[in-house]
Amino acid sequence: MSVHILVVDDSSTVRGYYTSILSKAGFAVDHAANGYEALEKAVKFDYDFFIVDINMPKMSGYELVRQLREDERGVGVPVIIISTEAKDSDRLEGYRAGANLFLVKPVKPERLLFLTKIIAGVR
Amino acid sequence: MKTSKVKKLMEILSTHPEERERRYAAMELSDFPREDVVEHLVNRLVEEKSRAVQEAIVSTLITIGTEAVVRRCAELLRSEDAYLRNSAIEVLQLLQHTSLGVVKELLQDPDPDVRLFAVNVLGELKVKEAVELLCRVVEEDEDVNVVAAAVEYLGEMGLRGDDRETVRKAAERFSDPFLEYAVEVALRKMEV
Amino acid sequence: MTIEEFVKLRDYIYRKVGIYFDEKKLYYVEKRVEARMRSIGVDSFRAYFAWMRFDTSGRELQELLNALTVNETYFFREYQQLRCFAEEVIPEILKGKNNQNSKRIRIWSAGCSTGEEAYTLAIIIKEMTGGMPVTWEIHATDLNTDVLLQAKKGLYGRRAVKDVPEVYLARYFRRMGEQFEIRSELRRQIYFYQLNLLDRENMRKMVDFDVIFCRNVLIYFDDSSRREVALYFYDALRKGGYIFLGHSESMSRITPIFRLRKFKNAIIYQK
Repeated sequence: MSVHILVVDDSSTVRGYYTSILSKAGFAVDHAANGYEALEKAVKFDYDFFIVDINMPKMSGYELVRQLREDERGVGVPVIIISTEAKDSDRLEGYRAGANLFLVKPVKPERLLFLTKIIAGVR
Repeated sequence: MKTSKVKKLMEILSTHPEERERRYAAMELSDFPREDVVEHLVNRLVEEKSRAVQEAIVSTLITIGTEAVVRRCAELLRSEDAYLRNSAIEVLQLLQHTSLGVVKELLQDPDPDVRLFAVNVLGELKVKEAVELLCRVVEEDEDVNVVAAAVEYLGEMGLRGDDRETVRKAAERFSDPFLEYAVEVALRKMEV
Repeated sequence: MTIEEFVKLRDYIYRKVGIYFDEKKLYYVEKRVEARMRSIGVDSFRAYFAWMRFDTSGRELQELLNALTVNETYFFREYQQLRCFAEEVIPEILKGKNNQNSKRIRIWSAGCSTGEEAYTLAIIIKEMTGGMPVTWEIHATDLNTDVLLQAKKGLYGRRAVKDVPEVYLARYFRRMGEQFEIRSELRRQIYFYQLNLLDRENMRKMVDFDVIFCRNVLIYFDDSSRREVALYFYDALRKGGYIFLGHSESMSRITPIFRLRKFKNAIIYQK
């Protein structure tokens, strides 16, 4: 069964970019345009993996990750934050919220694929 | 009379223990588009702990919609709090041409994140001048993420052959697969 | 409409209001866009998109959304949601009022149009709470006084009642030739009145509701008004109260202040 990933970013280009990279490698990819929409989708469907931006309208990536971690179904789900914000304080807040990995945009396709596979535990 | 009412509402907004009362005070302040009110609203937005009250304050700032709102919200773009940054972007987007002057300044900011926010505001505006400014970002900005965001909006807003040419050339300035992807997608949208 | 044109429009609508049309809807969207183009008199998609995108009043986007979201009203519309209301939400509300002597349920049908939704809810509550020590009332509001007049009459054609189960049709309607009239016992428990959802003074009077139904209404408001209405709804609800939006609608472009609740048959927003 393929890993079901939710890509959360307010940019349609970013969502399309990750989707094209990940779906070619066999991941099933769905998307949301902000943190709150991601929660709406996450209560409906069970995702195995989240890729999340920070700055988004209505609900930021930090808040999304915090809320995911509060729910028992989301406690152990892998989350990668990928943001343009690259300060140490941003990383710290991302890890504190519960992210497994913090990457800075733009991400190269090989790197995204490699790290996603490792964290998702697929070869 | 009017002044004492404003004072009372501002007082309720900052000190009333009931969330509901603070929310109503925030909404009612939308009838008083004064500079000191804007100042107070933004300060409360920063201090307030309840998201529902914060959302009411944001709503009121949008309704007031003056230059003062734009200026104070532009400052919030540098906040450490992601909610405040993104609410500020939303206010600037909704205030349309009132935001334009401030956004132009922000495009020159040394912090690429602030420039990215400025592009996110420009991309929601409904004036042709926004298209020209986005083209300039694509031609001149040094940050690949800022350029990619401008390219995305041009895909939707660019109408002239020149705009297309500007987007096409962006991929040559940086060698980056993400930007190449953004350019490809934008050009496809600009064809139609 | 080419697929590229479709994608360009789809992406824009999704960003603005959160409604996502997948490629299977191309034909459906195309027909409605063509109708809009005819009505404003442009003959290319390119010209139409630019018109909508740079329309400072935001009107054309509203018109298009209006055309894209079919708004037929009939009894028992969006059945899955109503099932959620009947089988999961009402029992939960009653449980929450267990320690109260007289249980009272207050429901608001906001943007009630000609009343089909309000009467549907009345039938459901009556069926679900029959024989229990429960009182209930439904407030049904609309901006348009013409539709309210019709709603109060409670007279409907065959089309409107096509999804009403036979036994309810017999129990709650009176057949009058080709028309069906709501029985007065049901009509008495619904208060129909005019209300502008953006009228701060009057919205402030709307309090203590257990459930608000506001399906396919917010779509007609612009960004900042939608926000404002959602905040008024928040204040109109009791703590723990529920909001039902239309099944294709989402709060995700409006405000994040409501909690999300997953039920068997729907996702519902809760205070």
